[in-house]
Amino acid sequence: MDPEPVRRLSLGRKVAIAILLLIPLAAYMAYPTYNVVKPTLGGLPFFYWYQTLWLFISGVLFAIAAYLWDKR
Amino acid sequence: MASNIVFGIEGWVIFWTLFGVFVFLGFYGARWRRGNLGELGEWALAGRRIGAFLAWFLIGADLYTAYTFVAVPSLLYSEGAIAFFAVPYVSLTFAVAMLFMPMLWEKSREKGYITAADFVEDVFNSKLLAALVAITGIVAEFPYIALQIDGMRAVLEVMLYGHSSAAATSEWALVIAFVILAAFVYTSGLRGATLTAVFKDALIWLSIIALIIFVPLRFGGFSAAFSAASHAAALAAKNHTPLLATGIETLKPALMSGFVSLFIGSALALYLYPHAINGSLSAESKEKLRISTALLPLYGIGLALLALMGILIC
Repeated sequence: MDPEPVRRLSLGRKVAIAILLLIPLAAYMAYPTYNVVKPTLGGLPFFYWYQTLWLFISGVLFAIAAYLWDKR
Repeated sequence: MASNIVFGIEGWVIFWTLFGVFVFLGFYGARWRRGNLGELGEWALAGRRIGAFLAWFLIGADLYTAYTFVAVPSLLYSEGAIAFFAVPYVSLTFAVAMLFMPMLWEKSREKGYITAADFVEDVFNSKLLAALVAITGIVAEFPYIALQIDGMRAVLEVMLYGHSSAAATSEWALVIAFVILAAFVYTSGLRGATLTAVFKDALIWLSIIALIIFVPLRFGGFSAAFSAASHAAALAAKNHTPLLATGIETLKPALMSGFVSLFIGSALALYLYPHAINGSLSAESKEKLRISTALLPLYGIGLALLALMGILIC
């Protein structure tokens, strides 16, 4: 397989990928938004289930970023 | 608490069966997707032929270690909410990996690098620096491995509870386990490790599902667990042996900066470990590596659920 230079990606594509990768970081750093108890999910405080939910969201966002990166 | 646990005959049958499968897979690995195991690339990186799905399992297996099962849940139980830094850490480390690992993969494929030290030697033209990187990597793995062995010891203690020579048996069991592991890694290299990783992860997902269903049934749901935890913490605080001190339902705000620095630091650090790089370099292609890394946060959901066991058992 021949090495593909990153230059192949348009600027717009690169920006989109960067944003997708940075969104979870922003969400996790905004701790006042999730360091709360309500609303609970099945008895679990927001602090816990929100962060766990973001794992799922990260997976999706990163997968989109990977797709954008390697799409021909 | 432990006095109620009896590892009955069913427990032993299951244990020995699974152990047998595990050892078989470890040694069978030498034959799987055959390659000349005399070549270091074949041995260390399974010939760089690990597809996306398997790479996901293999790298994910690096997450599912004694860290996940023992360290994080017990940290949550003893120190409180700060232990949950593991969750943002898991998400963010894969963003970091997605940026750097495919690049390293490509360079390594091109130039035949097997480890980070090879890369460093070539790019910086310094054998000394490469040696230092290699030594640092090895030393960094020591506490990681020690944690695994300690985790195994804890499990063995529970399994052998009540037996007269439990302590001596545990020691022997650890030695034997280590010898078997070293033997199949030596003979099959990464292939053995990959097959056993898949098996191990299947077992882990099974146990997570079982725990999530049965622990609440046995101990009550999360609401009950959190109030029990508050009572336990209040009681412990009175006895000057603090429990869950950093917060139970939420993290005490003063500790938030510590929480953030923990997850940022850990996220940057994980992919410096030789085993994380090793897992990445064995992927079949750059694209497959990228997508399997992208999806690894989903693996972390299991870690989050296991961490919460630290509270559920209160």
